Amino acid sequence: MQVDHPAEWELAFACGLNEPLRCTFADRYYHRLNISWRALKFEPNLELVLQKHRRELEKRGKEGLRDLAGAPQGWRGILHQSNEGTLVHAVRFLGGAGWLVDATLVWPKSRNTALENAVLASITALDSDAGTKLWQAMGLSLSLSSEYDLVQSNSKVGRVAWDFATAKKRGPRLTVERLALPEYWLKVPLRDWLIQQMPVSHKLIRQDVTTMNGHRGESLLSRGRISPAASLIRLAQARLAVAWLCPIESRVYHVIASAVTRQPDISLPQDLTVRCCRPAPAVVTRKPG
Amino acid sequence: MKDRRKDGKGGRRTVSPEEPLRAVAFVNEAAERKDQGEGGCIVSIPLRRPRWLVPPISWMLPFSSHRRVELDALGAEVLRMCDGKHHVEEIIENFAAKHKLTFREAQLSVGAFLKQMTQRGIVVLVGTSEKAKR
Repeated sequence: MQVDHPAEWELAFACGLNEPLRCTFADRYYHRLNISWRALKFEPNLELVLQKHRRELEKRGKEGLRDLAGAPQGWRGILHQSNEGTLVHAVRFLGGAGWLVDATLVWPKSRNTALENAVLASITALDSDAGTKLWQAMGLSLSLSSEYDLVQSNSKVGRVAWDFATAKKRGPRLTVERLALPEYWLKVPLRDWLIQQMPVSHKLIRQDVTTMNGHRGESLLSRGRISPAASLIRLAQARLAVAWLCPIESRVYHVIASAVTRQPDISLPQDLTVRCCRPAPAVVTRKPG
Repeated sequence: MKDRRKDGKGGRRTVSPEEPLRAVAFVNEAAERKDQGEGGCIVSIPLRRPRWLVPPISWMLPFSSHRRVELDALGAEVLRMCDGKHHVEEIIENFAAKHKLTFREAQLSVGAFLKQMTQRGIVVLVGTSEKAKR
């Protein structure tokens, strides 16, 4: 799913575990855009889908519902206007991907029809090119082979971490982290910080200087025991950690590839691209009142 | 579009999402600050002795006259901005701009910090009225 939205609408909620898949964008005060989508085998009757929404809104006491006029091609919708603002509810079937998309826009003050249409028109199913998938949210943007899937996402203040794994049992795993406020917590050189991050049970094999996206980085290769039985057949967990500081974003990127293997060495997935060097977000100053 | 919360008198009042961000942050006048190394500080707040804490109970329950909170450099930086001249929204904006964070990243950390500080009686958030701004 791809959507273009104003920079001040940030991803506030994302759920990809059960259908319908859903993400919500919010500005400083309100949830502004909610998109949910589900795969369907056949093209649905959008009028029936809208009727269902209309009934739900009416049940919640929303009166004076009107049909959405002037929506981009393929979109049908209803809108509810009140003193507090406007609620726009639109649906569309994306034929190529076979997705029924449900979009809700909230306009707390005046409704911006041009922006509304631009947002709705930008909602498309994203094609994954050449077997790679784009993963992009919460400031982290990376491309990775389609065989990897997101298994865990961890988001704390200024720290976003995603874990990827393949469908194979004991297959390779990948963790990508993006950490803010490095001037505060990175008290030791990156090289020493990488050693601190290494699991206690692991043994350091090699530490090198590397270059990532044009930045000087550090890499650390280590190996850890899995079990005595696995050691007998020389199986161990190999772990390669790479970290670099992007001075433009003022973020530390930390990528960890691990696999259970007999090989002494391990490398990052070949088609992994972690994007950095995007300009820092501009914080718009508002005068309250 | 508005949250409905109880006003403490049994009635209900409406709180718009803007209101918490437009509150003005003040540091408790009784708070004492002692700067520490690396930009951090220790803030101490005098505590009121409970009336029931008299001998012989006070012989068994020791009473500390001050509550001390140790803040790191980031906490001290936010506390410095709680001077009664800045709205919470301005504090978040300044923090985000200084540390290259998005507004939401800064909002989460500064919001959680201010919540803790208000619970401990170090910071007071005063409503949105312009009169509150000195």
